[in-house]
Amino acid sequence: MKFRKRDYKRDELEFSLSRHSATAWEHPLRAASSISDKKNRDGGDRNIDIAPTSNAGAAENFFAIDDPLRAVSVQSPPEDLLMPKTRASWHSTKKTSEEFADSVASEWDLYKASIMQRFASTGTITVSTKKSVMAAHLEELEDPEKEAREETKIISQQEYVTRLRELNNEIAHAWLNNERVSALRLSIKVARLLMDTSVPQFYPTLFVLVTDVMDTVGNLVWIRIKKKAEIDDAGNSIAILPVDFTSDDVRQEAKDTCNNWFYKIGCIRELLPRIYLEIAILRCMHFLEKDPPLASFQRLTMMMRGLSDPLASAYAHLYLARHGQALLPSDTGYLISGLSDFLVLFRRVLSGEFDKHITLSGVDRRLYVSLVEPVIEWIMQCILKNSNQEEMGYVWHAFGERQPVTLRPGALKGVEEGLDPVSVVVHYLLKQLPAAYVGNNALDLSRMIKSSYDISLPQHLNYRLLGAIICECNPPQEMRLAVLNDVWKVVMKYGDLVEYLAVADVFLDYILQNCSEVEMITMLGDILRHLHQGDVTDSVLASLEAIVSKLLMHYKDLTEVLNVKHVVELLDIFYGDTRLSVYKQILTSISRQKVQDPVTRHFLFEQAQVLHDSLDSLSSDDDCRQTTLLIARFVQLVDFGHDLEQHLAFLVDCRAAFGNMDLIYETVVHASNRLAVTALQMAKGSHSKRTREFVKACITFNEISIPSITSVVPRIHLFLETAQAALMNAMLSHTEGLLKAALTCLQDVPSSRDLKAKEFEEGISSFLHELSSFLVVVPGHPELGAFYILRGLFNLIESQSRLISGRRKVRLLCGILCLLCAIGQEQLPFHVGNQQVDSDDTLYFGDTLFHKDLADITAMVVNMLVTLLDQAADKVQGAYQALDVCNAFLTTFNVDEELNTLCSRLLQRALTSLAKSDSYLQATLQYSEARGCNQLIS
Amino acid sequence: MAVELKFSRVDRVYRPPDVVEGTVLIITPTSITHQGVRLIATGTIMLQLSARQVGVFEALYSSVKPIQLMNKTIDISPAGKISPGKTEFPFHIALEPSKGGLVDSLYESYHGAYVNIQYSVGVEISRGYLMRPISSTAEFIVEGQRVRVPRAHVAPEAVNFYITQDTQKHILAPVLRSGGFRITGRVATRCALSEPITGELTVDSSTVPIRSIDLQLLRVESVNAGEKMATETSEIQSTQVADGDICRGLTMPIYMVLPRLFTCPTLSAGAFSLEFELSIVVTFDVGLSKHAVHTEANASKQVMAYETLPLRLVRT
Repeated sequence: MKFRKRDYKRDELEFSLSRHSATAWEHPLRAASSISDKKNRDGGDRNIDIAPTSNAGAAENFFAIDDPLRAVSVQSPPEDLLMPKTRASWHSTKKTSEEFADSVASEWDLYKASIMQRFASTGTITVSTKKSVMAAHLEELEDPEKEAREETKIISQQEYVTRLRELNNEIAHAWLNNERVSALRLSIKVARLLMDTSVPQFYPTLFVLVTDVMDTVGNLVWIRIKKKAEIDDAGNSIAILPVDFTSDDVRQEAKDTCNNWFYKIGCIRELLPRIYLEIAILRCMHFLEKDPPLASFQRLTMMMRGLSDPLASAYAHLYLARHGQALLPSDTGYLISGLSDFLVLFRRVLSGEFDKHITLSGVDRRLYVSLVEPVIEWIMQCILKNSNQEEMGYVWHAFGERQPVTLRPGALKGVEEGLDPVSVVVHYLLKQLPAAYVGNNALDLSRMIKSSYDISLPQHLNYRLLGAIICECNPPQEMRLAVLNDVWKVVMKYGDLVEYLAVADVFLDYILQNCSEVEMITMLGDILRHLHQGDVTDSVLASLEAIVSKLLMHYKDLTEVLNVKHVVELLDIFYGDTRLSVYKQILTSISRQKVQDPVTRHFLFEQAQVLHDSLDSLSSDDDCRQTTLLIARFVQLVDFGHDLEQHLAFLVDCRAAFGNMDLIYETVVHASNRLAVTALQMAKGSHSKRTREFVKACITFNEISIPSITSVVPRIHLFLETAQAALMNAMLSHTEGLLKAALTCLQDVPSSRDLKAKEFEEGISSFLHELSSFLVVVPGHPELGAFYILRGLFNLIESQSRLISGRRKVRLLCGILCLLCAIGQEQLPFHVGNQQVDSDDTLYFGDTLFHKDLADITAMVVNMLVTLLDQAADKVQGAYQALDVCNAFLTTFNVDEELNTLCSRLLQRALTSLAKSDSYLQATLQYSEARGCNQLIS
Repeated sequence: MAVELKFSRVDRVYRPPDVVEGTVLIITPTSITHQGVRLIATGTIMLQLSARQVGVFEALYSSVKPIQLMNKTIDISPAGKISPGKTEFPFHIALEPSKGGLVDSLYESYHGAYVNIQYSVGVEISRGYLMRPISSTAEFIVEGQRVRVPRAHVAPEAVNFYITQDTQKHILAPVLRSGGFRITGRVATRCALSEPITGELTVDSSTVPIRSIDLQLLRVESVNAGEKMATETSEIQSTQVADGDICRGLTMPIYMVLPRLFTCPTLSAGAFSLEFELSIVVTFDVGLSKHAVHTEANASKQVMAYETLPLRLVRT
């Protein structure tokens, strides 16, 4: 059989898909997005078309698809804040009063759960020491006369809770049995429990439990009076009250009953139970009066001034606020005055007046103060929920500014300059004010924070909150620097590093957004000064890490960050695990642009080294992989421009430094190959002595590096790659040596293969294919023959039969057939891009011995293929292999009788085993016909 | 068999010149022959002398005669027979003082310790000589007529008060006397019975911590016992205004709901008088234990400060 003469260029043109350059508008992804855009727009238009009466919902939906952020602004337009709010009157709200009450109730339920959760753990810890007090109170419940007795039984908090639940049931039971007086008496007893604040940390839980009972009672009374209004004594229904009934619809008997309830509760001697029960049934005022019971709310707020216990007072205010939300949602006046009343009391706590009492109950002042926090949070939320600008200003004035003592004559003498705002109140004020408002008034608010310094809430949390808000909603231009200066004047004096950094962390963001680099450098300098003074602990480092990562995020280029003054010093402070994680962050941040700056490179190299050294046998696989990838990426990104020798030196350093990582070796080898090729390009194809030496150094470097790689597949691929680089640079002996090394390497593959056999085989076969295509241009050995390497390859396939087998082997042989065909051509399909390298077509032009050898080898390969086909066990597989071979034959050989019979046999074999519609079979048939092979198909 | 009196109003409150209406309800399994069903409406002032004022002996023996305000007898059914089952006799009684009585108008119902003003309706079914008459009584309440007086007329007469260590007539604990305190406020002393007592109270200063501030509603009942009046003051209701050592300078509201039946308009007749007072009681916390206060009455009084204001209750 003779090789056919091939025109590779024509073949390429014929068989490749036609190409045309895409314009920007034809980009497939681009097209898709523009189509969907259009579709969206159409959808939106249609929506509006269908509902031209400004169907806001549809429009919003449309926006929501388009841009989720815009949807938010659509839902709450900022004008809302500026519009004077119309006071919702009782009449307008009453229609939905039931629903409204429900929504408030569900909100309350969530809040209750959070209280219970928040204080649950502290309750159980310390209650055990003070059980006796509660026990005494329980007994008092059972029998008021027992009070004086000394004996107490030990009960736990859980039992207390259970007892309360029982009481709740008893009340319900008594109520059902029409014993309303005893139900009332029981509920008074329950309310009285709240007078006991001797176990402060249990009080919030107690409050929740007791108010549950109170609410139950309130509901029972409401239902009863409603029933009374609807059904007369004889049990006849009079009229069902409309949903939005007023006191006019209620008959006198029901009103009398209602009044009686208020009378009965008004006669309770103790203040606290009286307040709670009145709040519980306050809703029933609706039966008596048309207007909302504003006066009652105000009076109850005033009455709470009589509660001297801070906890009791706070929670009573909370309970009033909770019911106020349902009954008087629009009015906040009573809440404001109530809160300021409470603050008078609270300031006494903060100043230590209650310390004796607090110590007696076994807690410290800070914990005691924290118990009040949820109350302030809720009340502040209620106050600011629906407020407009003007009201906000008022609230802020009331709680955020220095309180002139003159408002309360004789209240606290000796404090001439006024009272500072309480920090916990300031905190929740800030939290509840809209961000835009905070932004616009940032300077005044920061002054407010400055003046509030007490133990109710650490000041730095307030600054942190302020910082976070003004990052979100920047203050006006002219105020920006002033705010920063104002805040920093205070913060820079902080002694506690953690607190200091917590604020610095947030304000760095602010500076990056709003100020120039000068401020930032000053800030970093200040941070550094603090760090040198203080004790750097792990938590300090954690905040510092956040700061560094912000800087990294802000600057696009790492070099810029490093050039900022103080940054390097800051980085030097890290140690331990935090240091590693910061380094990782830094390495991650460079993954885009080239590293050219020598300082940055050196810096990164050191960090990479630290990371590398931190890995040991105990490190997790993920950790190793991540670090390796980061370092490899770094090595790839390093760029020395034209200074190739320097680059090679760097690669040598890398190899030395990151010896434990295969991937780094691979990267280094790739980089070095690239250097070799770049050197050739720079020499414009002809090496001088110097460049040749350099390239030699690169190749030698690789020759040394590659054997250190543990896994076989990358190793052989790299050998091949280096061989290619060497050939390009006209280093024939190196090329040969490298190819031999690769084959030897395969020869020595240990017999026990790992589990990834398939991948391994894939790797090997792709390598062999690549090798055979490379062999097209590798010139033959002058002494050992033109097919020295190829013979080595055959040896390998034969001796190490488990490396490659089955269809892969068939394909490889087909590939080799193509290689032989190419070599047999007068001109090779491609050449090495270096003029100094001659390939076989030049070397052996017209050499008959060479062509004889070629024909021998070809015959051998054909033989091998035929033998292989006969060995194929599986019929279908065999058929496919036959098709493979047939194709290869048709491609490589001239059509003659021999080929004809051979191909017919192969096709026959495929036809018997495969379905006729099989596309591969069909394509092969067509191809054979096109080649003029007129086989007989019966 | 049961005899029941039912009033037309659930709360049984009638104001002259209302007519008391109702029904007598007789439920009987057998038929009853009777000699007439008679209704008796009475109104009486019962007076009692305080043993402390006039001595035990006199209190027991010289009981003061009750004063009759109203006494009416109405026959609602002539002699006849009541058939088994439910029988109802409706009745109407005009509220008017008995003719030739001591008073020209009816006083309001009032339940006190030494003075009681009560109105009741009794029904009696007489059944001949040998049979026990069947009877039943029920109380109803008389309230003064609601005069529609314009608000301005009952403008609250606010009385200012102040309590210091110097206003106290009893012996104070030394620590109180030396430390000093000052509590000021005002109360509307002329108040309507249907409205709560209102006012305000402020602790201006007190060196000793306060344990509690309470309002006490007191009744002052005087009964004429021959040549002198036997006067007795007792507590009706106590309401706490402040619990514990409250903030100085914060004004707290005084707000006390008046209990019904136990109060009535301030009244002064020849044989007796009814007056009411409001007492503000400040209890200080001088470090005494609860037990000590309980056991030594004297000691407990020493740690308290009072201010008592006369009230003028009116029906509006």
